[in-house]
Amino acid sequence: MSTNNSVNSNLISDLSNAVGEQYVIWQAEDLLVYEYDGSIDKATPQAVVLPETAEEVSEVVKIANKHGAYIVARGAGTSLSGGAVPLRDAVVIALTRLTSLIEVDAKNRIAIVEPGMINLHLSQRVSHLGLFYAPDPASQKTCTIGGNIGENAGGPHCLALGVTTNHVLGLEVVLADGSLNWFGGTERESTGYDLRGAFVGSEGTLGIVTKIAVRLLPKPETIHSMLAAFTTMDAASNTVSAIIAAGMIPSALEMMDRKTIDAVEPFYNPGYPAEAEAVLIVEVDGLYEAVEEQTETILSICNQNGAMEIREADDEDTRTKLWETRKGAIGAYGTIAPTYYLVDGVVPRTKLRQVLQQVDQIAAELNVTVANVFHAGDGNIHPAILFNEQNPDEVKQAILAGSKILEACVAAGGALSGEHGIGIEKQAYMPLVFNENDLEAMSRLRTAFIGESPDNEPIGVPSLGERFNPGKVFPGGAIHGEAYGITSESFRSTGTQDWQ
Amino acid sequence: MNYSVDGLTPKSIERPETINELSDVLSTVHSHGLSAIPLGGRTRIKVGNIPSSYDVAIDLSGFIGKIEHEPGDMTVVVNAGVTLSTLNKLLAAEGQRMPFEVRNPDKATIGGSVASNAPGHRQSSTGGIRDWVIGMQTVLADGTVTKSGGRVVKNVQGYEMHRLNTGAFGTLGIVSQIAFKLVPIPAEQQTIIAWFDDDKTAASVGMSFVNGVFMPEAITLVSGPAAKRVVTANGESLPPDNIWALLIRLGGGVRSVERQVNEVVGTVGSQGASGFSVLDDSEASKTWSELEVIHKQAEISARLISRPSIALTTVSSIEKHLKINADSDISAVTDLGFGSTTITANPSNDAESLKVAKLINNQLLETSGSFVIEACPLSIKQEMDVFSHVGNSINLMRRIKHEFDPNYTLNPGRFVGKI
Repeated sequence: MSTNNSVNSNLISDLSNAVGEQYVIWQAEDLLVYEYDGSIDKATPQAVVLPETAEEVSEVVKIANKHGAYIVARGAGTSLSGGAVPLRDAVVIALTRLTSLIEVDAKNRIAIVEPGMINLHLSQRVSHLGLFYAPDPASQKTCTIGGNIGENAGGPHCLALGVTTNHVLGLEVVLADGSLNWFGGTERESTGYDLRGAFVGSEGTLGIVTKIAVRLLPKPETIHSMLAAFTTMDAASNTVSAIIAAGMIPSALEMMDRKTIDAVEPFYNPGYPAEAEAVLIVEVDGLYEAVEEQTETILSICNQNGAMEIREADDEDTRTKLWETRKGAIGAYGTIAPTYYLVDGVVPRTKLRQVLQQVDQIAAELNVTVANVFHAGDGNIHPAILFNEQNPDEVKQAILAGSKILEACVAAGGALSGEHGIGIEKQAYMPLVFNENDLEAMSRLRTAFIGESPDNEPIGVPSLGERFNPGKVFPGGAIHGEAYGITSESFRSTGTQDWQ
Repeated sequence: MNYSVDGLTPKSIERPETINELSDVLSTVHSHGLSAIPLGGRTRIKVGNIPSSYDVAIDLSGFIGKIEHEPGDMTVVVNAGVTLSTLNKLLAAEGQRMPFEVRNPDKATIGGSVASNAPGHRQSSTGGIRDWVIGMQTVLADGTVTKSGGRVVKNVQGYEMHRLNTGAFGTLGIVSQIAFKLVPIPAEQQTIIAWFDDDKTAASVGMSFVNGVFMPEAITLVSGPAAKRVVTANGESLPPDNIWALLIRLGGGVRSVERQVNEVVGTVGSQGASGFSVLDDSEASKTWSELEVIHKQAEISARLISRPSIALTTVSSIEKHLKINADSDISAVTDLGFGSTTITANPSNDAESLKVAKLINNQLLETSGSFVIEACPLSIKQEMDVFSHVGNSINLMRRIKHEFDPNYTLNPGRFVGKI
């Protein structure tokens, strides 16, 4: 963990002149809240700036350049992969004052927002027009749309509707030289290279987004949610496969295991059957007729697979109640252990059973507790490794279990991340999926955005190539769990796996 | 096989069939300082600026390999040379299909469609091709084989190079293999074709479906002589000359489609359509094919992508200008859900051609949105950039090109800003 040893008073003074003294934070105790995000990693920034406009962001980037400081953009700090953790003594640009809804074009279903707008607020602001913003990360009550851009965030309803990148039309971005650029526009496609597509999910390493044009969708005519309890995880997994095989893509298809049920019971008292080993939530929406047709099929598939109990909801209150346990699951893990490490991996849907069994084996071998709540429909698993962060051995075991789970996902033909990104957490595992040529091609893109580090760069000036969010995404930038004494030797790189 | 591009012919032709062959070809081309143009089914070979150099044609129509379809995962991994038709036939056996359509699917290859971001009829509901690409393998200018993304429907791991390469016209690398998300074939599909004698009604009825309680698979408004052709394609008795045709394709479960058909028929009937027909899937294919013929035959063709309401006003403004100032048939095919419109013209002679193309270009330059002149006489291409301006982001685009292909080996001069 880096510490805030010295304060660069010239930097602080330049920043204060640019945005106002009250919007520059540099006292050690005030910086504490900016040390961490939703992951287990931590680092202290040298200063935090809260600009109010895109122009101020641009100004701050130029000032940071002048003083040779790294820059980390931050929204609500809900990243689960360490995306918002400021490595290398960086200056944090917190975008929480840029919260405006700049434009709503209801006829063409477009909104332009500032990056600090909270995800759920956008849907609330356009609700009276019969519209909503589709990507719905579990943290949507607090996470910002700017942060969602950085991480290409997903959510339960991304199964049918796609992740953040599928809903972004255009971006205004401050580049490394402080210039403001538009990528894309307010149209579905634009000419030239798809810069917005390259930028979404780049985890803040290519620039800072200051305006976002998104697609809005019309609210469905009706929504029907179903919850089914099963005596085995296998039966629930088979149900998922059968629903997809029946030619349907429900709007959500979520699963919880027994440990998660145990965690949520005392909080929400859902009264799931005592023998239930898995609970599945299936939601369909659209026209009444379509929902009716799909509901009939889904209920029949659930019954064929031996569902012990089925609950249904077709009004807002009942639906909220039905989803309560799923949405509150991660918070409820607090009843089992003080800390959780929420792993995010993806497997082909058809390999769900196999990989979940492997997760169980890994937990047993390493003697860690793992609870599962996940997006079953798209094979995006979220094993939560529950541990006590005060016990260094438990931390090590948790991180080791995470790495083994991700290896299992990749070995099954899956991916390192479905929606949380690489950040600090997964950079050491990138070589499991990508070889040197792949990573080198990605770094070329970053060079095009940021500029190359000159050979004669003075000592003490950050590498230009890593000006934004240094030490993220690419292997070798940081060590996951360093704050808990994890060393680089804790990680094993098992070589490359060819895509062919 | 005709390998000429904008009148230029290559000195040699390469037909790699494996990734090693493709890598070797590029490595050789690169080390000799030559330039290369990748080609698939050549269905969109007209799109792009005139190449600044063209030494080697890399014909990928034999780059087929094995198609890896995982029905349970609803994914497919496919090599660039496979045609859309071939792929869809294979997927249909499992009740699935590619989410997007392209024109001329018997010839159009997957690689060419992805590289050129090919448009298709269903974009109202499916959006662009890039939204369905989950992973990609590309071969860089020097022959280096690289990949990004993955094979699972949801993945965020590293930079999304596959998005960058979708629509990059092979200027950053040759797209060799692509992983896609798939969709199920709906149980029922129907098309309603309605025709109107005024554009405002046709457009407002069309827009009402864009913002309705269900999203049709396609919402297409056709104006000009093309409107009459699509209406008569199914043997409708001759409608009057000046009509606007609205094509609404619906898909879903049987009961859902029944309700959608009723709603569409009710709306077009009550809003003053001159006539309409409900077509089943095979009847409708004649109508949709006719649209493809119209695009294919057009001497001048320009595609504008804008907010849907702007597309409509642009079309009517261009039509007005052309009626007054030029002697040519003008048709427009507007995808209302997506916000794209393709304006086609077949002027009577070269002088008229020049006039019409310039008029269209000037009108589009004044419109917010982006455009591509997809087809026009060579003499006009020589004078302009067929792609719309991209603002100050052109600087970044040039830097990206420089990082990936500093010697301008791949498709030189053909992309935005003559990259």
